[in-house]
Amino acid sequence: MAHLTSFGVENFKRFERFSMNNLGQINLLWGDNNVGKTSILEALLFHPDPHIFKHRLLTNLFVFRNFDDITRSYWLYYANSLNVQDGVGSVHFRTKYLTSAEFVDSLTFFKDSHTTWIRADFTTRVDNSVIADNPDELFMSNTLTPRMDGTFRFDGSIKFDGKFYPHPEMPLIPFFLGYEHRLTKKYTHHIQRFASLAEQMKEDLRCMIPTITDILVEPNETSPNNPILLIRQKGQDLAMPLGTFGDGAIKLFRILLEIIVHKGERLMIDEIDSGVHVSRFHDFWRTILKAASKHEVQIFATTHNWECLQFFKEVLEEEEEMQPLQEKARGIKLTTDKEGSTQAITYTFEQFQHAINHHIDPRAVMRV
Amino acid sequence: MSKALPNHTIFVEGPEDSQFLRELMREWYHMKVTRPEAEKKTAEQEKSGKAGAGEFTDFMHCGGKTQFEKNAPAFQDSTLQGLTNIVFLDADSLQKDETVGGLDKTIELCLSLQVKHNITVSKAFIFPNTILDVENKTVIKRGDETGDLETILHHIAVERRLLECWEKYEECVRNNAHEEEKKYQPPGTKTKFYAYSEAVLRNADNAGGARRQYRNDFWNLDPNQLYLQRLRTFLDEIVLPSSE
Repeated sequence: MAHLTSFGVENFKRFERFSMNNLGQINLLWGDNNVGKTSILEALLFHPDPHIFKHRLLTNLFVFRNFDDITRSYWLYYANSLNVQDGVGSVHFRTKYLTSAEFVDSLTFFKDSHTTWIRADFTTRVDNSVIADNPDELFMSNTLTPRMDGTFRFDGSIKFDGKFYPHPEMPLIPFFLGYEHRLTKKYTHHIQRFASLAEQMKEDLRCMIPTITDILVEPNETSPNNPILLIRQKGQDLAMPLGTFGDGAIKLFRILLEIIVHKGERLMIDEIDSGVHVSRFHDFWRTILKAASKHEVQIFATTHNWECLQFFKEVLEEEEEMQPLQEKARGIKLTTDKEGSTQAITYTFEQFQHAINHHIDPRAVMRV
Repeated sequence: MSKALPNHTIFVEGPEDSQFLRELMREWYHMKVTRPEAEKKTAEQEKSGKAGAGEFTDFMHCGGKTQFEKNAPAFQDSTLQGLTNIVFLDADSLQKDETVGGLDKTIELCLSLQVKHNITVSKAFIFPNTILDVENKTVIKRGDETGDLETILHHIAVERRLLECWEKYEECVRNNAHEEEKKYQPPGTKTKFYAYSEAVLRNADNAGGARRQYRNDFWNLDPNQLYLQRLRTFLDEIVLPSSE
């Protein structure tokens, strides 16, 4: 997956049309309530393969947002407008994006050059008449039809049997997600078997758990299929479940884990600062930025918090190790124009740094 | 708190400019103009960065004439929100800055913002006495007068004796500049007017954030005098339609 340098979406949640440009590897988004920050992160679940995009959208609803109706509510949640004719609804999302030149080879799936807007459309009938037993069949009836202009049309019925199999590698971390068993499974699968990754994970967690000496995975006697993560600490004989630590520690654990899982891809983090005390912000950002840089992960994170903006700047100003990241860092203010549409204003690091240094609060509201 | 100027965003170089304009607007139009975020903060709040955050803003601090590129997002934000951007800059002098110093170069700078930085500006006031309509490319000036906000302050300060004291002090510093190979330099003009304010206010407690207070008894704020006429005309065009 290539890193995005530009991204747009149409007919998605509150956006009839939205785009943001000059994206970097590390993108910190802020804006007023209801401006669409979370919606943008959800739109960024976009994948050139519409099967994967659709699976991610469904996973977001079923796993993160506890939806229990696969049919109409699914489309009503994501579609800005819905066409209904003869009892059959259709929805049309459109995303367009540019990627950085160095990753263009991975885009051979599309026939356009990397300098052209690439579009993937899909239309899906709202149809709950067919039930699939096998999760692989969820998308089996879908078809992907290439067009002459290099774009693809996606058609298919939604089939659902009440058992939903989530996308195993969701690149989205909602702000409310605490400890849960999938975290252990991911850790076991992606990190535990690699000594260097496990050691790095332990080191990185020190900014939240200074006394950590080891991360263990142990069977869960009451639920054998769900082993638990334990943290061993210096001077303490008994290892404690990760879930007993604060939200900040669990959040950092999850972010570091997902960065490794999504190596070379992108990761969306909603309200990155939630659950993190201001005294930890510096090391929190430093750890995340270093990990994202090392694993070449493109980050899109949201915040409401002044300190979060301030420490983002301060950490990027530090020593030789962090400064090269400055040119890859962006601040993105989401603002509402006079017609009520959400617009994105991209700050380069230099512009962001200037705003913070001169107390030009980038969150300031100019319009009454 | 809401905005005093609902249709405009005023960009100034620094806090001295916004404080002076705010006081004039209170004195002349009885308007309560919001202070920029940074000025609302006490030292402790400054440290935490929390005070006033996200409130409505009338003034934005640019940090100087050479900083427009860095301020482009704030201008674009204001424009997107349907607001008119007004700029206050110092003309300065060529001696101070060869690149952007002097009236002609400052006018040229304002007129090139759209092309160079995608910054839309409607009107600019160039201290001390020039009005520039950027949209219509018209200028009202008095010769090639250079200077800055402090040029106005120099002319409207009531206690002339205090300014004479300061001039003697500056002369004294200059005369001793090379004494025993020590190099001294008179303080800048901003310091001169901070010192003036502290002297006339006679209150050490005022040495904090509000060191420049523009009270009528120490500053001649009569809008009909030579060094405030143009500024009054300029502000009338912005403020009066807003208050109708």
